[in-house]
This record gives sequence, C-alpha cells and structure tokens, in this order.
Amino acid sequence: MTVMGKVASVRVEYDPSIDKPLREFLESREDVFIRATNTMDALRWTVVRDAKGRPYYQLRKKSQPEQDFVQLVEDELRRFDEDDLKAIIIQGERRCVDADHVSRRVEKWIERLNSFISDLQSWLTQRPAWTGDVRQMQQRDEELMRLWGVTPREVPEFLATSGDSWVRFAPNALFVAGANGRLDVITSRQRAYILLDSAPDDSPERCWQVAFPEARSILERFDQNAFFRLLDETL
Amino acid sequence: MKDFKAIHEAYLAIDNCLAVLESRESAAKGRRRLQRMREINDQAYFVMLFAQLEERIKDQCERLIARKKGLAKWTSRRLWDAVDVDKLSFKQLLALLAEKGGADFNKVSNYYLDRCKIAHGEVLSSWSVSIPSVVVEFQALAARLKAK
Repeated sequence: MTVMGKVASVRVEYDPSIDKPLREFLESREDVFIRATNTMDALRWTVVRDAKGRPYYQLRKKSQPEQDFVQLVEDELRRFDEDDLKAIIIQGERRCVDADHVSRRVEKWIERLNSFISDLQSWLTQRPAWTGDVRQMQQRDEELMRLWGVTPREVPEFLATSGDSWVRFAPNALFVAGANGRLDVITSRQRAYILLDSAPDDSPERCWQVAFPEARSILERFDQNAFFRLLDETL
Repeated sequence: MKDFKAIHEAYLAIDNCLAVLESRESAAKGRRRLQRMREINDQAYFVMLFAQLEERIKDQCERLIARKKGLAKWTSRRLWDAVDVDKLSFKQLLALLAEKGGADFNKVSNYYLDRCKIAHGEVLSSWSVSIPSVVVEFQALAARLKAK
C-alpha cells in the first residue's frame, strides 16, 4: 500500500491487508472520509477521543467503541466493487485534538490578540484625543480547555479612553463554532459589538470582522476606518 | 433569506445587552452566570437559523422532485415517482442538493448534529457559536443549495 499526497486529502492504493501505517494514519484524525472514486457513495467515520486521548469510533450514528476501527474500514470497503477499490480517497478534515493542540491554540490566540492590539495602538496615534491602555485579564475557562486540562492564561485587553468616553476590547472566547475567537467591544455609551477573527491560525493574514447592528452587511472588516467609526460613535 | 437578517438583528439586540451586563459584573460567579446566559441564547438562535436553512433545503427538494416527476419519459422519472419528500430524512434531502461527502454536505451535516442535540433537549455545555458567522455561512449555503 502506498500513501501519497497532502495532509488534508490522501490518495491510497487499497490493499486488503491494511497495515499499521494506515491504521496510524486513520487514528491521527478526528474525521475520516473514505470514498471509492468510481461511486457516488461516501462513508464517514468520526473518530472521537475521550479525555485521556483514547480514540473510539462512530460509524454514522452508531457508536462502536468495542470494534476495531481498521476492521470497520475493511468491512465497509467490501461493499464496493473491485473496480472501485483501485483508488480510494481518504480525507481527514480536522486535525487531531489533544492537550498539546489546545495549548498551542491558546498560545496562538494570545499572539493574535497582541498583534491586533498593536494595530489598535498604532491607529490610535492618529487620534490624539484618545489614549490606549493594555491590561491583562483572566482568560475564560472554556469547555475544551477543561476537557484537556489546559489552564486559563492571562490574555490582553485594550482600553481606549478620551475624557469620560471609553471603548474596551475584551477577549470573550477562543473556541467558537464558526470563528477563530471572539472579542466583546463595549463602549461607555453602553453599546456592545461582536468582533471575530475569521481566519485560521496558519493564515498569513488575519481577518478581523465586526457585526454592527445597523449595517447592511452582517459582518464588516474591522480596519482602521471601522475603529475610528467606533471611537466617533462613542464620543 | 430576509428572515436570516431579522433573526440576526434580534440576536444582536439581546447579546449586546448581555455583553454590557457581563462587562459591569465584578464577581466571577455573576460573570459566569451571564456567560452561560449568552451561550444558551447563542444555541436558541442557532436552532432558529438552522430551521430557516432546513426549510430552504426542503423547498428546493420539493421543486427538484416536482420537476423530475414531470419528465415526459417514464424511464427517466420512474425513480422520482417513488420519492415522497415528506418521507425523506434531512440528510437524504440534503444529498439531493449537495454531493455526499462534499464540503457543503459535510458542513451542513456537522451543524445538523449540533442542531439535533439542542433541538432534542440537550443544552450544550459551554458551546459557543458565532451567530454572525453562521448567518453569513447559511446565506451562502442557501444560495448554493439549489434544485438545478
């Protein structure tokens, strides 16, 4: 059997005696999709890990922790014709989650926040009436962190002040479905805005977006103009 | 599609109030209580948004099946004649509009798992969802999942 290709999508030549490397390959993923190229049929296995990192497997809706995963794969592959088995696509959509992965995500989150706050400070120099202050706050203890025993860290928050007016950027949550972290923006006028990072950790560019309640678009890019708009609305 | 925006506006009004209350709260216990309220609010609005997408998918499937049942050649329509949209599961309906195992199919299926847990009585523990991102994503999915 040969395994070639990229992390996200690997083409394999199927060998009925699936060997250990394939087992290791399959077990390193959360979601595994196996599709014979000559058929529309697609099978999906969700590899779930418990708090100690042991994998167990769900085939469609049934949870089958007692069954050997590779045996399951072999059983399912027998449903295909031999012609279909000449090429099998195995895809893992998400990388494995474990304590190291969660810790790395938290570390990256702090880096992204620092970088974002650095942008805010730089923009603020163009508004001399305002001053900026970076403080540290306790990170929220999120479910995924509790599950993997990752202790909350101190995360930076930013406060822009002008007289009695202020705008506070406070990290809310990192592990949010649909986004890569969320901040709450609260103003002295008692208004709040949702600010999101929509880019994955490894993206070369960040994509901070804000939800302004009255805006035509659901999400707008949070850039210098959006920042100034927030300041102006707060004064 | 207009309903996505109306639901989003209602969500923002509530979430923004809770965010302001949370920011004023000095006690850790009080902040946790408000964070939990926001999570529950997220989940409630998520189910409502998913219902909009579900309705859209069902509507498109009805159009597709009606069109296929109208084919002149019996050999082309015989499989479709046996299809009753009300008897198909959500995943089966979805598979009529998106390739099984494809990106759109997987994305909707994953959200569907969360939706089922919440809609069937489970308040997910510490499950946060970015409602604005979900609205944008569901709008894009609704535009793509069509009875072509």
